[in-house]
Amino acid sequence: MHRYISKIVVFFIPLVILFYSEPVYLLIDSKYKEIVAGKEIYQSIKKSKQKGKQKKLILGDSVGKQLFSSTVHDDTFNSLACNQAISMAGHYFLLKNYLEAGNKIDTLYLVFMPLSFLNNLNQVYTFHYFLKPFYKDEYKPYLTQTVYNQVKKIPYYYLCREPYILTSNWAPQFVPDKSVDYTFLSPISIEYLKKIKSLSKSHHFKTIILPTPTIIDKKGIIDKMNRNEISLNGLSEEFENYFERIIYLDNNYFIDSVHLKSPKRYSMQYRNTWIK
Amino acid sequence: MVFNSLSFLLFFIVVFLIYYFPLKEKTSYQNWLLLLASYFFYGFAAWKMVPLLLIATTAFYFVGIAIYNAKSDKTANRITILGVVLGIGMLLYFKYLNFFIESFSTLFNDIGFHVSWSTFNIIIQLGISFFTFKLISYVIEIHRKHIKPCTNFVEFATYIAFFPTILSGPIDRPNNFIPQLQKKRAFDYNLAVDGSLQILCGLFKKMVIADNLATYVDKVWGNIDGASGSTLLIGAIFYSIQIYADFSGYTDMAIGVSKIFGFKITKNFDYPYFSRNVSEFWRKWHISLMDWLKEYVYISLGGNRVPKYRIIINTMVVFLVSGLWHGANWTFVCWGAYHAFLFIPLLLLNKNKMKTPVGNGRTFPDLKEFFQIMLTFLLISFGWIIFRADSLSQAFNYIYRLFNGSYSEFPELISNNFNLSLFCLLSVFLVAEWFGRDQQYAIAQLGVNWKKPLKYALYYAIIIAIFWFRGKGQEYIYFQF
Repeated sequence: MHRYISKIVVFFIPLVILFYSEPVYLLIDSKYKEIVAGKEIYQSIKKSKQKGKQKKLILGDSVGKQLFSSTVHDDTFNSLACNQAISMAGHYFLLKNYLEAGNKIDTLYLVFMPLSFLNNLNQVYTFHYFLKPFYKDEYKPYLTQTVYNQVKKIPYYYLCREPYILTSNWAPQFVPDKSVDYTFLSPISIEYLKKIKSLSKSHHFKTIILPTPTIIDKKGIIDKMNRNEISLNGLSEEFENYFERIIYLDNNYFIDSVHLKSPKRYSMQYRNTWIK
Repeated sequence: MVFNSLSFLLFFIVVFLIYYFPLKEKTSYQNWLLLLASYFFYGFAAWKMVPLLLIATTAFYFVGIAIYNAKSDKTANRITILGVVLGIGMLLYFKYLNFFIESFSTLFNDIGFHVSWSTFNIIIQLGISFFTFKLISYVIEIHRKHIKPCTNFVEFATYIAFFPTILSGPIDRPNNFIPQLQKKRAFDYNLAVDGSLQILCGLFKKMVIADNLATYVDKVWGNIDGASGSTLLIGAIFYSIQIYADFSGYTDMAIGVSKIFGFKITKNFDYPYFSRNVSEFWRKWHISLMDWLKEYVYISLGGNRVPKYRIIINTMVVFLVSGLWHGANWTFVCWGAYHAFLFIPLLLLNKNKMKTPVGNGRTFPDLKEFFQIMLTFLLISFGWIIFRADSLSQAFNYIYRLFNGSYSEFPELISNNFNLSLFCLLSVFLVAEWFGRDQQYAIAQLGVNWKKPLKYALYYAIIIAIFWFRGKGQEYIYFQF
């Protein structure tokens, strides 16, 4: 039997070396951040640690990113918009990084579609989009107990920083628990919006939350959202006129019922009306 | 916990090391370990199912002893019938009760009697069809005096719950498996290497062939109304290959794992798609189930020693039971009936047994064989449409569009999403299957006489193909049965 075990071990050594040579190279060179799905998150993290002269900062989901690209320079604002899957916790880290890099802002715009606030890290995307970039020593001290509780529900969460997994698009298949007792703001969204609010007080900037154009089919769900969740959590000022500002469009304006076919048109509208 | 998962790998390593190091050659302790591991494995899938398995195992253990100790044949007969009824009753309750309630309720409503029977909230028992058939065969074999009852409960319970086979078979007979549990099991190097290769072969079939084809097949079945005839045809062919690669891949892994633990398990597949008629197909597809049905249903009904009309009825019964065994749905019943209609003419014409193996001694099949294989494959693929459908109406819709749809355009599956690497791997798979058709699994002897570097290069190539070309993980098709 020792012969069998030693043969198996010897047989697998070249394979392990072969399989790990690519991830290790990608890891050392940080190249994986440019090739994995959700690379925009790594771009936003990188950008959040750089200096910028703009006094306005934009955080947002993928539709927010369509409106205000994080890769195109703009003299008025700096956009770190990337993806809703990183949750409000991830967006808080981007803001925190930005401020810690010595940047000063007067206004923070959060450009999110209403459904993005439901994210409680209970999505299939959480492993790839949140755990891989944020579940590490740098950010762990700032994770709340709610985040830890949610993370522990994800299979193999402890393997998210393993080189092969981190540098690939692999994520475990699982059915997340979607039974929730909120309609608009998830507990994690509430916790981190409050943290953003306290940063805005300590760093003296204003926070404005703006909706992205939304498909008309979702109006029913959005109308049923309990807006008391905003006032009960002391976020009325940030969400002022949020629902009233939603631009509802029919299906023809969307690629996939979420993302816009012609974002530029609305980007200009937002600049002319709300982001000046 | 499926074979191609990290959790199974860890589970396997732990059980293997305990089995062969502290418990080396201590048969009874090894059996205890296998039993605990099997219940853990089964409970990992759903712990709620464990009590039924334990209760059924205990009941049949005592039934077996009671049959053997019965003072008269009459009493033995009665206890055997009780055991069989218990097994069938368990299946009927857990698998078919709601199906019958729904079917009869619809029937009565259709003929004018207004009934509103509600169904029961029953937990579907994973692997129930497999372990129940093992339990039934155990009592029948004791009754037929082919085996003595197992007096050691741990051995019996391990036979029923043996983790490599509990979820999807093969359905091993007690006379093959229980004696293996009773003898000393030292590590057999050659058997373990053979088992490891078979696992590799199974992983390739499941993760590369079945899981990749599943994506295409699901696309076709998700848009039957919008698909052309050629797309539906390719969809049906792909499903035939998918279900074979999925099920035989699982079986390869189950047999391979068993070999590493020192067990030789019944073969379940013998390259069924190289069959020259449907009868030959059924001797090569899901062999353990068909042997079971032949032994305990067909022969019990009189076998071939009855008038021709009874042979036809008995064959029909076997195929209907085979269909129904797969699940509580009329699609499975129709699939069984379809195969019976293909099989019975061959039986009546005495063409149900092939005298020589396919491609006998030749590198390639002759032209006649080639056309026979193609025709059989198409007939089988047609049957899989009924099998795959969620309902009869969906099956009829698929078949209707298959025959009435357009064949002038290239199948969308290929023109829109052509995957060259999958096409190449599929070709390699079919060629390997053809040339390995005399072996228990396709690569059993492939490269055995090659020089070491070349042989290892082949194994590395298979592993790399599994990692690089694996499809999106899909549940094993036969887990639902």
